[in-house]
Amino acid sequence: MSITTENNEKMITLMSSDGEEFVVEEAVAAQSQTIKHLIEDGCSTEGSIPLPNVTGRVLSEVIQYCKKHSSSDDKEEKELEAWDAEFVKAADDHVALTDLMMAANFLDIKGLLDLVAQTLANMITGKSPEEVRRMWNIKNDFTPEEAEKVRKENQWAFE
Amino acid sequence: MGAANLRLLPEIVEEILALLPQQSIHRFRSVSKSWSYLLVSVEFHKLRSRSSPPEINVQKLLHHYDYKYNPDRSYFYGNESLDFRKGQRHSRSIRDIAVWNPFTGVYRKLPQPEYTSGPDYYGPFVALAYGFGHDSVGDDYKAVTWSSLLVSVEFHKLRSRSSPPEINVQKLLHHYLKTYPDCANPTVPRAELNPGIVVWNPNFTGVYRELPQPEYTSGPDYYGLAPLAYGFGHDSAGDDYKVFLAAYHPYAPIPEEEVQVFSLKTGSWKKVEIHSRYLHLFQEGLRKIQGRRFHMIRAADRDLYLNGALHWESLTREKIIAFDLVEEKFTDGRAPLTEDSPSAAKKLGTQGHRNGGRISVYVLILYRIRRMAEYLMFYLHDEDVPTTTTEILKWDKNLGKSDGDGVDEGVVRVNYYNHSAFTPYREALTSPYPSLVMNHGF
Repeated sequence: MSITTENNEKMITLMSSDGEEFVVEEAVAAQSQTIKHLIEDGCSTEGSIPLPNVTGRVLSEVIQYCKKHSSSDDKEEKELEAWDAEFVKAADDHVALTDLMMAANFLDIKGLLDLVAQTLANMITGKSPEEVRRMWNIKNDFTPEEAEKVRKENQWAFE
Repeated sequence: MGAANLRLLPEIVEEILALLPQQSIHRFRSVSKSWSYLLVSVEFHKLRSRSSPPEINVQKLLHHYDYKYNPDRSYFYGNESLDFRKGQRHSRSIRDIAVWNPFTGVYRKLPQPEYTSGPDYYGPFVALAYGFGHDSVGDDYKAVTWSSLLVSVEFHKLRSRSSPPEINVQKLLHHYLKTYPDCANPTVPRAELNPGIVVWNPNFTGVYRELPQPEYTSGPDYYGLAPLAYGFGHDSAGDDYKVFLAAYHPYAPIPEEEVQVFSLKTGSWKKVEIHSRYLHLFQEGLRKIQGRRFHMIRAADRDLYLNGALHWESLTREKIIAFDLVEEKFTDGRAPLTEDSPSAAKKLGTQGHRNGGRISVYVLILYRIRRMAEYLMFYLHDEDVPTTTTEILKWDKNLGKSDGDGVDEGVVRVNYYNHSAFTPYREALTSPYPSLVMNHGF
């Protein structure tokens, strides 16, 4: 349902996968290309927009990011950068960051996607393959011979 | 959501990994098969080149030779020998070095080094060897050029310093020329072939190690020996780095060859017994030019170290010669590709040579269904190249063989006429699939 605030800002309602509802200004939500397209296609006129891939916890973080980025203009770039840094720091671990990245990917918010990707990249740069596997539950599907071969081919990267 | 429920979509993995430095990318090929496959895919590197400055990715040194000669002397470099008796043709010396990123197609010309030794009237320095490697400590790419006058002065300064550990030595810089004044014309330096061998560690600037001359057991000493082929690679079994040298007596009435292997660990040369079948491969090219009192030399960086063995194309370009560094013996020139090998194609080597205005680049690729062109080596700058653009791409099927399990082996042969055609051509050649390249010409 569309609600209009006293500022004449159009509001829309987003519903997370676990049923939590968020009422946000359309300008904020439209930072997500996915939502923007849904609005343009008229999907928001009745009821709320369901986001089956995003939990309430993650969605609230995403909205926080979108709010900040829709209210800032260019001259605050430095401040925005600092805010971004704090924002990803607050996300704390790779699990939360991965969730955030999945959401940013689904919602198609480029700025957030780049920010989280860079944070995750920085996090894993110095890690060993084993540590990376543990982070994301990736199965090591190499046979011992194959593993040795790949390792040898890339040996310098381990030194 | 706990870690156990983490689902990483492939496109997300790609986004993250594309931001990593080169070293991490190589390391993470060990994570899983899908990662390994992703990290060598052309698509990934295209994505990556968008997110990082192109020069960072530069992977290959385009070396280009220059030479300057007059009837009194001849310089040998690379695959080409210049017969002084033929030539009044004075080339203006061009000494550009470019590094080229095979994925982005971006190339970058390096500025000229400032030479500090040697009188100017000798003319420009003759670049004898180039090297290119990755400095994994500083995550930097370094190019080294070796110039004739630099050899005599700067090299010996370097040599007197103590050398840091050589274990990381990654590149062999091949022979250099020794210059000395010609008796008849003392102001003109005369070049004599002097097959000194130097290994260079790109991780530490200025670390060179000159190898001692091997003790040849065949042929009278005074003939001197000329190199046929060099190679450099890692012996994984003995954790050793080895230098391969095949040499022969150029002036002996009947050519005699020797193959020697130098171990960086033991610091000594060892003679290798070779079956005449393999010797023949090196000799083929030799016979063709017999009687002309000059010989061909293989440039060191045209060998290819792959799967513990060194590979060359035979001089007649019909066969692949391989030398196993662990066993220290010649083997069949086929690189083992496993069924699940994430690299779809293996480059066996590139080679270029010049014949008049024509520049030929040969690429040996072992390829599978999913093919991947690897980088080619180009010779830039040739004042003799015709202005018309003619290119011939030829896939010589006769040179290839199939072993029935999808692994074919063949030689992609590219005749390249004009360096102004470099740009469009480069794109064609870096296309992810050699088959696409082939379609241009077959």
